Amino acid sequence: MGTVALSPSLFWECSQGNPLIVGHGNFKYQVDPNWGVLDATKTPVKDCHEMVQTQNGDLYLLTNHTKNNILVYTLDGKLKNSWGTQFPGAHGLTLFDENGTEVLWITDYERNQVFKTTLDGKILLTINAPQELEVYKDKTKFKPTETAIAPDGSIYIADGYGAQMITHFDAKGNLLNAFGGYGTAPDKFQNAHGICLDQRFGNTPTLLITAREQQAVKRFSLGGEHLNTIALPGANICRPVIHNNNCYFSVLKSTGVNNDDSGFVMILNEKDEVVSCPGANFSEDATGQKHYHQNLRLFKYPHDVCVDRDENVYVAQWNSGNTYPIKLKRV
Amino acid sequence: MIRILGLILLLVLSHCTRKTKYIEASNVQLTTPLINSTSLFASKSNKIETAYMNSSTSLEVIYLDRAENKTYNSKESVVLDQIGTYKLRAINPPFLPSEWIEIKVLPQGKPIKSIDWISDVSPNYFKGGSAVLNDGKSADISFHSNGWTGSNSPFRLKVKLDAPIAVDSLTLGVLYNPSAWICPRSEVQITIKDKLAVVQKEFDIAVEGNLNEQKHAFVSFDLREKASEIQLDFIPKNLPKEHPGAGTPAWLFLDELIIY
Repeated sequence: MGTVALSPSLFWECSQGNPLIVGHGNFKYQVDPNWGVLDATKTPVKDCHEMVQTQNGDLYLLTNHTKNNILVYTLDGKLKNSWGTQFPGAHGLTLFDENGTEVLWITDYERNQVFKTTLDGKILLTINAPQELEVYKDKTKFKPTETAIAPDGSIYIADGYGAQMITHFDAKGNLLNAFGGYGTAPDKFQNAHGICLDQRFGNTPTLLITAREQQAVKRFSLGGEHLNTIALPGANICRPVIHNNNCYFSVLKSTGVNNDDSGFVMILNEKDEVVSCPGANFSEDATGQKHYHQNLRLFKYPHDVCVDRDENVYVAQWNSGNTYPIKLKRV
Repeated sequence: MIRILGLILLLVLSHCTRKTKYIEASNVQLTTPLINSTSLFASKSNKIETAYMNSSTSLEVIYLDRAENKTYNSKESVVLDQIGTYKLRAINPPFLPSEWIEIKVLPQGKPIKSIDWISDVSPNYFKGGSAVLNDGKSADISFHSNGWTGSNSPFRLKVKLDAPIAVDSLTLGVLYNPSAWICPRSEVQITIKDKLAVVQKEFDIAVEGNLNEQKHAFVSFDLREKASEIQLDFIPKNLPKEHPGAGTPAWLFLDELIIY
């Protein structure tokens, strides 16, 4: 990892009566806790797992509350639509533009399945546990947490709560390849929780896959070859979210503090340098190794971030007491 | 004129008191820093260690047994030379102070010759081995640290003493971190042996707390027997019904075993 642009002295700027500003460098935010708060008796949430923004600006939130697995928000935080009652283990939400038509990919680790749907909830394709692989003879070992869709429509599935495999399917759902698995070797995972396609570097897209318990993100070729590992000590990162040249992460929790609900948001630039950590700070140990850790209790267990076109960040949280997403307004 | 001045005053006041929709610093709590002591036992060399605490943050310390309260800046040493319970929190206005954490400073125990951990199952979290049970150091709160050793299946500790001695009680340091499936809930059968007799006593470990809490707790067993060897058989119980993993065995993580 290159030079880190953070400074411990810049972890907040505030004055009495003025909004708190969190983050570092060019990535600073005001915190709006009321954005998207809805009537919980009508449109409740359980864990807010992931969010995406569609072309028309709407924000789609995935929750494992089976009264409404998907909540569709307008940019100003108003409810536009809701649907979905059949995903008790709703976890991963990926948006893909399929020849001009946007589709959603939803993983359900309780149903051991992955679903492709229209934006209004019609299921277009279901991918089951690939039982041709020995590790998935017992289909309950397949607990998918995230998908990444390649330009050709093929699907990579991260099995972060199961056998820790990364499986690759063609656009029709036929298994093409598999790699990863549980372990501490560079090409193995402990909690392969999130995956995304990284197309920031010209004509060679790669896969970024988080190893949440290992506090690292690992880069792989599309063929499954491990390329490098970016260590983020202290930060249990959920999924990578690429926006412009930067990579955003929600950090479920950090290990350098006393409270367990110690998550924050982390932003890396295109050189894989940490450039901002809203809600957190870093310290260096005697060897100069940086450790990232929460310093303000703004978040509970952040599980995903969604970055809109104005660079505002929406933070969906797990196990936060049925709360709706928090908006970070870029300043 | 008075009306105009009044209007201006009203505008100024309304501007000053206008509530922003964004969170203000004075409504945000500081994270509870990692606070630890260099030793479990009272001494002039036992000091507070605060990993990763910002230099502008101070520590407020209350020594409960004497109701003493003092604030230390980040460069000052906090010495724990008195037996008892200390409460500590981070402060840095205008932020709300962090939660309090408690550190117990214990009296030195009686000498222990050796502690052996015996289990049919290879424990996944045997990082510190049995050595951490008798090193006098307080483990870091993180279960990832090498200061803990844990199991979620039955295991036995065999404690050997230098010579037969009167044992009043036995204290165990345990980790409470339910979000990591670590809940001190276990049956314990303690067998106390000396040359003439073998006595068995049964206890339950049950540390209470909320599901998001992490703490280093201590449990004590009243023994009042003479012993040259003490055997502890643990049978971890299941996670409680309010836990997402209810019905599966709770992990029992131990740090220190002290005999008084």
